[in-house]
Amino acid sequence: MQENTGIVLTEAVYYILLSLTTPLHGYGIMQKIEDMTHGRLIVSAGTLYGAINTLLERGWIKQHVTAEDSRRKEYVITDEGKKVLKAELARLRQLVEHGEATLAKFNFNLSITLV
Amino acid sequence: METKRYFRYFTIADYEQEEKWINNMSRCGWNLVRTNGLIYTFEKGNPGEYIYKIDLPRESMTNVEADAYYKFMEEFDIEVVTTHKMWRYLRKKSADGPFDMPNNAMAQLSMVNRAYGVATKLTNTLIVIFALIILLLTLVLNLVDGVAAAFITGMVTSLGPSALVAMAIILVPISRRLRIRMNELMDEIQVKG
Repeated sequence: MQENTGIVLTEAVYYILLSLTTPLHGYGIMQKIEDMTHGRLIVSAGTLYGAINTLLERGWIKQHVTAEDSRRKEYVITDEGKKVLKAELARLRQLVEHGEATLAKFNFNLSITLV
Repeated sequence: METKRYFRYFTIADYEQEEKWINNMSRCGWNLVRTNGLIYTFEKGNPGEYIYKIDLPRESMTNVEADAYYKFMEEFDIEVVTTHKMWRYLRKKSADGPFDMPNNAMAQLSMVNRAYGVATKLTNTLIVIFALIILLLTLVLNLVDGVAAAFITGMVTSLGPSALVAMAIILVPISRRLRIRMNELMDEIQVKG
């Protein structure tokens, strides 16, 4: 049994955490998510701002401090954030397994009634 | 610069219609530059160059935090065109894409919730002001007599309640509409996640 944190991430937060496996600033996060999802998911500036603050508070991401004084703040995922991401991935896998198993059974029953 | 002025009034619950109207103006080549909540000033520009969005900072935000929030917006080439009370009129180049995913129920809910906060704050402020006026008049009543006393008594008993009723007629439906919209969006989120 995989670790169950009881946490369900929104799609936006899931992709924000994924994108922050490398340090990025706000606009960079949005661009990376757009690239990753081939333009399917666009995280708005408002959503991103709220999510970044919440994730900082929870300690799932932190500010990335660079040697050069950058005008824009950069963020990066923490170990705690990686743990949450792993647990979410396990949960998503389970969703897919349940779906596939149920649909496979449904197809099987259907084929019997047809015969 | 060629400008146009329009007189319009939108209630707190009508910010979505207000946004639509401003965007229609922009599509026709009239870009909003200023508003005081009643008079909207537009400047002639290229049709459809900008898209507009009406925004409110969160209630819990201090002025410094709100500044940081709109500074963050600048990274996305979103500019605050004008401010009226707490309302911020944002715009960005339409070529850079929309502000948000269409029908993002979570973001919409957040905005309705903030508007509801404004309505609640307004109601509470008015109640406190009326209460203070009535209290003050009652105190003055003890110091005067005769015609002045009768006048103040008349004010307290007629003006006070009627002002409260007027407020209830205007503000209660606004709060109610915002609450209904919040419930609709919450139902949507239940399904869409």
